[in-house]
Amino acid sequence: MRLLRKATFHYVFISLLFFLIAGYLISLNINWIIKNDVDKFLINREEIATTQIINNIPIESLNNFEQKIKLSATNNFIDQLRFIDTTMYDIIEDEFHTYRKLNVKRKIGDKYYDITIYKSLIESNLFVLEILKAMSMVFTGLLIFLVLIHLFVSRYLWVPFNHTLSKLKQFELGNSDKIKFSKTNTKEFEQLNKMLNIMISKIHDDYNNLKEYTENVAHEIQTPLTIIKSKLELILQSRNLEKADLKNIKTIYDTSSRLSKINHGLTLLAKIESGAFENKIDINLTEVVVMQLKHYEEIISLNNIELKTDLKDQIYYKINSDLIDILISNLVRNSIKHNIPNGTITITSIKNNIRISNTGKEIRVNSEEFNRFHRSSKNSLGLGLSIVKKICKLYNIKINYSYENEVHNFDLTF
Amino acid sequence: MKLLIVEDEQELLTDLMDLFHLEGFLCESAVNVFEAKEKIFMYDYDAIILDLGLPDGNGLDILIYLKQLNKKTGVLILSAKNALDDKINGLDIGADDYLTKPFDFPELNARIKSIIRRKHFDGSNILKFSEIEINTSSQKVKINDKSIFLTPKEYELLLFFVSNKNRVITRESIVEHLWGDDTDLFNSFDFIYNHIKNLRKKMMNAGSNNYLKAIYGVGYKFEKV
Repeated sequence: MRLLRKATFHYVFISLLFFLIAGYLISLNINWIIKNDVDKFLINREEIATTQIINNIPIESLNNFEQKIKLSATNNFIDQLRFIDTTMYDIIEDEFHTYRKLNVKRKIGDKYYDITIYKSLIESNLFVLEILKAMSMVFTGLLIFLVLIHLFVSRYLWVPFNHTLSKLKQFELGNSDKIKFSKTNTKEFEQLNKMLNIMISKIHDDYNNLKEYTENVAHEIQTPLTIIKSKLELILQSRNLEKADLKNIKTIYDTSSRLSKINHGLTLLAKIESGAFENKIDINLTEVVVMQLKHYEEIISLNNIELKTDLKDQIYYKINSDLIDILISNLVRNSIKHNIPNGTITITSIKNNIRISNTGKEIRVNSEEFNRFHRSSKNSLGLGLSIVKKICKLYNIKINYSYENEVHNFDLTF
Repeated sequence: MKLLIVEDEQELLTDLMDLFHLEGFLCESAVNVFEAKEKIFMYDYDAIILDLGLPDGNGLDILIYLKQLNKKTGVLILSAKNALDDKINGLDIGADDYLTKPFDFPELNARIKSIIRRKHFDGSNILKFSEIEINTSSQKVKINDKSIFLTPKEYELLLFFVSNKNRVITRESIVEHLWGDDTDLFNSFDFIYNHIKNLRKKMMNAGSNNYLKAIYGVGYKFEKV
């Protein structure tokens, strides 16, 4: 949910709560004032009635719709004013109305009188209702007004933030162009922009350092290896070598080659991690698979492996062209390397899924396979699949490994 | 043939000088951009082996300078960086080949010879070794003036051997020459024996001597008996 909408919701909710409580208190207050007023009126009327009785006006003539006087037999609760809310049936309007009545017993002369005065509350109820109506109208108007103002003001206030956001979206690692945030006089946003600038320059520095470091490491290791190899080459060509020496020299020679390959793999992995491959383009993955298979065709047949393909479904994906080549070729190489004599490699594309399967011994079932340097056979450097995993993670490609019926399956879901 | 080796690593420089000297090259060396430019200006070389990371600048500057001088010298870039950008840049500016350190010397040797052959158009694209004659432009092989048919891989193999005659070559170097980075995909190098067996058979059937000597546990040597 957008911040603006969220804030508005909170705003409306809190205002509504406030208005409800305020409205309730106001109506309580009004009710209390009216009741007070009605009670005063009832007391006044009772006093008049009492005076009239004292003046010997017959009680029958004093009785009417809102005033009932009768002789009382008991003398309990004498001179005690009792106010009671009640409903009474209104014959004219054919409905019950609320009334407030005052009941009191008075001793006038030597007789006891029971006096009850009624006052209809219709008008006052209507009055309260009208007041509440007016009040809620004002409140609603105020609420709408406040929300609108809030929306407009916030939108205006958040302009620099949105600008910063859209600038950040353009941010690309490795692109050395400095991001220029627009100037703002809001202190918080100014601070945000300042912090972002500091962070971005630090990220750039770190990134460049790492890049430089990997390149330097690659460089520094390759040169000594080259010297080792050239020295070995010189020894290898000298005439008088024992057979055992030759074999040892060859082993050193091959090992240094392997060391250099590990180094290349690690450099590549570090490069992918540091995001050195940025530019993405829409690529036909099926075509990439076909191209890679063309490259490995001869090697596959030299290894006595049968290749089966079903690549009718074309899959398109936005990815760096070098990395997708590396990804597919690593999986194909993996399927060649870990195959068995007279085995098969099957590659299929269905919808948005590419499956690369190969026959092979059950050796590498656990997910550990994806970790660096997990070697399963002596020819493998153990880096190929870590690179695959890294690329998949980078581009949100789902990769799944399964082993069934002596077949290893790698599923890529794009 | 004159060769200029531009390399700042002293050990490697001397080794390369020694190795190419054994191959019959006249070698000169330069350890920085300044020295290399000076030598290029004064002398003509058949080929230059160029290291990119030099103490006083980028080796590519030497390449640009060479192009400015309009010299037809062949250039092989030797770089420790396996960076694609460097490779593309170098080849764009006009390098003839690119090799990443560390390399197998037979590979460098074969590539330098191939560059020199390509640069000399005056009939020297014919490579001769006794009765064997390899035409590197048409990729045809003649033995005693009789054409023999070789598969592309057999041709590559023969060319590699002849370029590295009298030199012990490891099986790995051979496979790496033919297959490059894909070398580690082979569970065994048995197929290499077959390639070599077939090549030897075709050549001997055409009346050639057997120049190919197997060196137990290491590889092969191509030399006159």
